[in-house]
Amino acid sequence: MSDWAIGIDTGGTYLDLVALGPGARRLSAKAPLGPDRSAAVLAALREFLDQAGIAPAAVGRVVHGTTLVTNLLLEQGAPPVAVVTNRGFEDVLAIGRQSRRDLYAFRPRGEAPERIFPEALRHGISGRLDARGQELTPLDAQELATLGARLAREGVAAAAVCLLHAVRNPAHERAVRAALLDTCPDLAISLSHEVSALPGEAERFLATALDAYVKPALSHYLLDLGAGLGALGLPQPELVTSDATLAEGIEAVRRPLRLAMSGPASALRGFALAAGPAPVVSIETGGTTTDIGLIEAGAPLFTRKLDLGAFSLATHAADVASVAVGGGSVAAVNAGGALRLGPRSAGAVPGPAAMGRGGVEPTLTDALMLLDRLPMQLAGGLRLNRLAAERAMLPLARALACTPRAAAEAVLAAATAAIAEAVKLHAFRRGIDPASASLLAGGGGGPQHAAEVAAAAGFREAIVLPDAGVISALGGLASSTVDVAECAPDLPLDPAHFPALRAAAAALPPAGPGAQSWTAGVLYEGQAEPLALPFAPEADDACALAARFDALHARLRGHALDLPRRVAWLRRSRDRGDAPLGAAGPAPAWELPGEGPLPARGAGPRALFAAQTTIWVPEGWSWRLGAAGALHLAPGAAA
Amino acid sequence: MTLHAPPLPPALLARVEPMRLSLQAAADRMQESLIGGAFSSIARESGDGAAALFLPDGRLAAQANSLPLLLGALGPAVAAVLARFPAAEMRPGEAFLLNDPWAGGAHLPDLTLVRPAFHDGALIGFAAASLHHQDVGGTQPGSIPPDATSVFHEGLRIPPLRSHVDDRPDPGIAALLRANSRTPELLTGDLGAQLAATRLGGAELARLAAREGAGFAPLCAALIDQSARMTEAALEALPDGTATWEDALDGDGITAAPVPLRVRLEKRGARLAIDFTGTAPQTAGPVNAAPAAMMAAALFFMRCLAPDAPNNAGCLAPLSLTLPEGSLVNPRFPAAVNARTGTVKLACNAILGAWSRICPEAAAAAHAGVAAVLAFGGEDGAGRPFFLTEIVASGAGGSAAGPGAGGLSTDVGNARNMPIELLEARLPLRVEAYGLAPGSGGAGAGPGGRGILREWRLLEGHGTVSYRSERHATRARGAEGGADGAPSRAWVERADGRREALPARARFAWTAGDLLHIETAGGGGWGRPGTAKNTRQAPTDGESHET
Repeated sequence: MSDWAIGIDTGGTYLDLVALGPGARRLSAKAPLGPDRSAAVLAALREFLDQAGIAPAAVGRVVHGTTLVTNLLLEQGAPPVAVVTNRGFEDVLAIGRQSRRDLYAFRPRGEAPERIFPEALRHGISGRLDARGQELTPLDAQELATLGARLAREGVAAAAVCLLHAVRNPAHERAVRAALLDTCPDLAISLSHEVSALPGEAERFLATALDAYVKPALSHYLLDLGAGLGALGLPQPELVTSDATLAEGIEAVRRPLRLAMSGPASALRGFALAAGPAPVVSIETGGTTTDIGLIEAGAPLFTRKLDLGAFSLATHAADVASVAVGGGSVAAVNAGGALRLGPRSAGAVPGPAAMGRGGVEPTLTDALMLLDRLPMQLAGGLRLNRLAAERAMLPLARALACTPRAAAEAVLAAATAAIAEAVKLHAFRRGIDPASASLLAGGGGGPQHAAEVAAAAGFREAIVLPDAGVISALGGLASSTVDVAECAPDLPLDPAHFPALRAAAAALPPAGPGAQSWTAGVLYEGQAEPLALPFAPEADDACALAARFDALHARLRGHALDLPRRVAWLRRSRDRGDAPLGAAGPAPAWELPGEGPLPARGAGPRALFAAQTTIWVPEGWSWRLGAAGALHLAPGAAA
Repeated sequence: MTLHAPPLPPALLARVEPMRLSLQAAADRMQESLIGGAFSSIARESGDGAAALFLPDGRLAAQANSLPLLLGALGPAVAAVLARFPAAEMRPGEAFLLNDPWAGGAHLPDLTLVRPAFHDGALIGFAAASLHHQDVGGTQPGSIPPDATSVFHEGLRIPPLRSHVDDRPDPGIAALLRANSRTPELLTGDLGAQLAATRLGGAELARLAAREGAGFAPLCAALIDQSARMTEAALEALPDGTATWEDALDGDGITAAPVPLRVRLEKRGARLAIDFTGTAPQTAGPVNAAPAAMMAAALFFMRCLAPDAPNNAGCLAPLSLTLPEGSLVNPRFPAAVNARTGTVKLACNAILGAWSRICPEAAAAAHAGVAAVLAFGGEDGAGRPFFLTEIVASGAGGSAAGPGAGGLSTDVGNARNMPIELLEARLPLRVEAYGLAPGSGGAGAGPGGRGILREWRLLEGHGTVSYRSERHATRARGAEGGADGAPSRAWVERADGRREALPARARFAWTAGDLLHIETAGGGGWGRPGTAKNTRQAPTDGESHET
């Protein structure tokens, strides 16, 4: 009797929950999160199961998306990690690519978060491989034993093993791990070749250090959560990774950096459920940021360079860009007398003034409140205070020499423009033209801005899904386990080398049964960033792959080049097809609390206060209910 | 005092911030289109190109986020076009091209294209894009000859001319350009990328003009005003004062004699004067910097004062900049100017240095500001040719807030390093050490950041190395009692163990087994060592302290 599957997504402030049951039943809930995450998740689950009358024994799957790893990386409050690397290269992590992100500063800073791997914890060891993986210098067993004893003495909890050319030959990194575990059996260890299969030491070493950095905390969290779920009689959790696939808890702890974008990736999977063949750009607005995702032919687009806060991570992840606009974004007037929104956010505490948790600064939420675009009570029961919002807006209005309402309009216009411009840039980079794409909106705040962002960015319509408020939890349930293998052949793409490319593909560890798909990273000689394209090792020949690459390059960059091509990497994935939710299925009906079911058509201006989100239909726009409960917003009269 | 624009009508109040975001984003998309669409690897892979939008009067409306070295480079180009071609006679689909250092250009490989934008038949502004081209002729492939002593050695000089009509290149001019490049296909392709970027920018400007209607021009003016006010407010909040800073280049590429540079800053209220009087006369070698190149040094400083201000003409409102004619920083025709980067970096760091004397608490000790350029060429053991260019950064200055960053691209540069794993896979070279040069940061309460130590060994075959660095003869100075950073140094260790020291600019041959060792200079230290007040408890992202 394992009839139910439960998806849980924990964001900064709220926990979202979706349960799928027999007869396509779908229930959802939202609950506030306390500081003890695992306790809050367990309490919310228990309460939900009680209220819904679901027996724990009837729950077959628990799927979990979490911002835990994201927050550990952004807050950088965990203990530092030890780094074990080649002697003479101890500073590779500190130097990174020697470039800086903030160009204009009197005191320029590098991008490397050195507090995570301070100089005193970076250890050089003997042993060196060449670029083909041949050993130039052997490891020194005595030296490793001494180092292990030192790490044990210093009480280091996690270590990153970062050796040059380990992706060509993992033997040294594996031997270092074995030696360290001999003396420090509890040490959490990350090996660079396991974190990334690609050459490029600066990015791979950084990813490895960060992977080790988040390991202890994630491991504790999952142990607590797992024990609690067991005590409730529930199954162990499966975690949603940055590439919107599922990983068992133990697998997630082995490579925790894979969870860096867990939440946004789940949301993108949720949006993809509703996507047709046309390209889709998704926006999900929360308290601090708006995440922007891309979907083509019904599938999320991925990247190998994930920007997270100050980091650029070499990891395969949903290509989600983030712009610092959310409900808690604080509006202020700067020294030039100009309005700016964010990047600072009032977050959940003190939060927007309207929420009455002590916030006094004007936020985007307060602006929406003044413009009568929010309900008096939010999902989860929180009552909003219009007067407090107006009080917070007064100093801003005074500084701008206008009424509080005009100031609120200016704040909203700034939010719309910031989201719209970020949407346009992100779509532009992947060759998606808003004029022939749809804008999908989710998150607590996305539907509020969908129509205006669509208008400003040049979309013909915006679509809000009935599960918009819990889109990440739903997306987790639409994710499946995917077995991935990668290699970095770095071979010329020509007929002479194609057999070697096939051999590299064949040399990957055998996949289980079932459908496989391949992608290849191809670039022109001299380029730094490969483009990812579909690849069929057996059916393709060099000419076919080259032609596909040229066509993609022409679409994204405007032209193909007359240069030799190289294959940087190959990636094979096998989808086990075990997603709890196969297709979108029947969606819950739109309900406007206190008003009844949502009419199938209608015209703006109007705020539709649905249970978990508010949809704004601007003046001159209309809405209509489409297939699977999707709410379509478009300019013009209701047809 | 600056004259500010009249207050905006209330109806436009809510449109200012959207306009700022849209203009900046339009420029940024132009930049992406320009770099993504470039054919030559120098532009594509190192981002050596700039894109910006201008108002009909030639004032900068928005410049894309790009290499700071190209900050402000496009303004003089638009002014030079307007000086020769009256705006009233411009037609849609026309575009203008130039690279002349004495008419809005920086150095010859940077071709700048300026395309007027129209809406409803009226000129609403310009979109401009500049790109470093692979080759525009001259004595050496690549058009940056290190031994040039005249602009005529450096390639084809293009005064502002009408290069495009109906968005098609003038066939005569196109033929002339192709005939003067060693890589005509790349030149044609890159110019195409520039045209595409300026068309995109023009279309975005027209879209904004349509969106904002009558508000378009006042909103643009309000944004320039906003930037001026923000920069002025930042200046106003800082102490007044006058200071000078002197530094020198390690020779002009022809002789090793130091080339002194001097700058005087005078800050009064919301005004700032930067004066390079006292700088060396123009040199025979190609290190001279044309005014369009020097703008980057001054603008970099203005951007540091108010990094959040819109990147438009308003940033320059509080500034008066003096570049003495006939000097290193404003050479007379026909000086050689191709290697201006070292000079612009030195000038930028001199401005920062002088500022550290006026406003010690908010500034930092001197950055080393070295970006050593190494070009490796040769044949491997099987006779196959190889070629590689690398740029190696140096140390930043310490400050009252703590240590300076080590191994970091500073000031107007932002070059990335060459990954060791890729380098060793492609070339017969092995990197034997890569790290922060021990002891190179100046001691201080806030120590200077260390320079970089890097070693390459040639494994097989033979080749030549061109090494161009700075600060072999000078040091990044400490401030407030902090010590100077260590200078750069380099040597070749031959396979038989002989060691040959290298000067700041060198070209040498090597064979299998030889090793090149370089150390770039460290940043200056801040404050007397051992006097740090609580800075050690303050968490920083910087490197650990020097020991």
